[in-house]
Amino acid sequence: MIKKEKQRYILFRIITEPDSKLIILSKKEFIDILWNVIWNYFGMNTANKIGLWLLKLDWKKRYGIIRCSHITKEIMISTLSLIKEINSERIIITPIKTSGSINKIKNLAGDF
Amino acid sequence: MSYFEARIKVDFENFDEIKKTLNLCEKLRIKNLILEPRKNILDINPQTKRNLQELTNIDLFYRFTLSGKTLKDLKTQMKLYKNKPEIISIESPNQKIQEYAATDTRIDLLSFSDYHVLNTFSEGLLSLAVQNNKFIEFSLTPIMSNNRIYQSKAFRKLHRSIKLVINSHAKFIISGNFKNLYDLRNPRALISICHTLLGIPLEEAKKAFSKNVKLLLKKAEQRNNKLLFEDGVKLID
Repeated sequence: MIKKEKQRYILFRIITEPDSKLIILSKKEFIDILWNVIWNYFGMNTANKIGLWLLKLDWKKRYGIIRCSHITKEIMISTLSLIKEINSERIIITPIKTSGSINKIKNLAGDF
Repeated sequence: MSYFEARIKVDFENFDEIKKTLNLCEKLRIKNLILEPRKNILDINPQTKRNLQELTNIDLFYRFTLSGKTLKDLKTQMKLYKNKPEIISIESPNQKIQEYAATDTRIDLLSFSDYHVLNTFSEGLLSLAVQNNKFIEFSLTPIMSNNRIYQSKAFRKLHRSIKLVINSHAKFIISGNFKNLYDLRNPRALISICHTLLGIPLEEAKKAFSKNVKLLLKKAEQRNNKLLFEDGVKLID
């Protein structure tokens, strides 16, 4: 029997250097960066299992929420952490919380 | 479970730099941190430790890493670091030094953080380390390299070495040991990287960032307790 695929929501925080230029990317540009890292480090074999969806990206409050399949949760956390720079500016994208419920994640994100 | 970043090099004379590092660690939600002096100093003043602890909510611990060029050098250095409450680790590509360190009771940790040191890791040394209850340290510095060839080689070496360590039931820890401040990552994220890129089972990776580091700190604390002979053997009044 095929096990039903569950979804996981990952809340992440964006940290930049204090004197860096303000980075503002569209959702599509950010997703492209994520796919680039996934392709570079994990390849096609993994990329087709991820089910990546960017739900929220707030550059002012510096946080975002992505959705992925529960089996690729660890891969997505690695992917976020492996992003080193955007537009030649040093950046850290650090996962804060993973949950199966979007409401829990939204509540947490509300504290930002 | 709270995880450790087991190695951050700081300059103990530069308080501003330490403050900056601690602030970033707080933003990254790091709960436990082991600081190491970047310059060769013989002692970390207890008052300095108290002052640093007042700056942050992160639990701070300390370590010294010795890297003598010859065995004679190391033995001279060891005399200076006798009876220290901090973790004493050895990082050297010299195999004689590694073998000596694996048998010396004053040394807690054998570090294989650097790629050229990691290249000297051998099964013989691992066996010695297991016999003498020594901890082994690996680091994830290569993940931040832009040189793909070096990165692949380093990952391969790390994968093989950690596999050997897990099979031999040796205790090991994994640290970030990043040189640049903005290379720092949350230990939970590093666990995911270990699991996905190095193929370490999730439970083992979690142990390397948490339980084993706690055991290492306990070992360093008990090293100077003259009533304790070895694990489970204590002289009581």
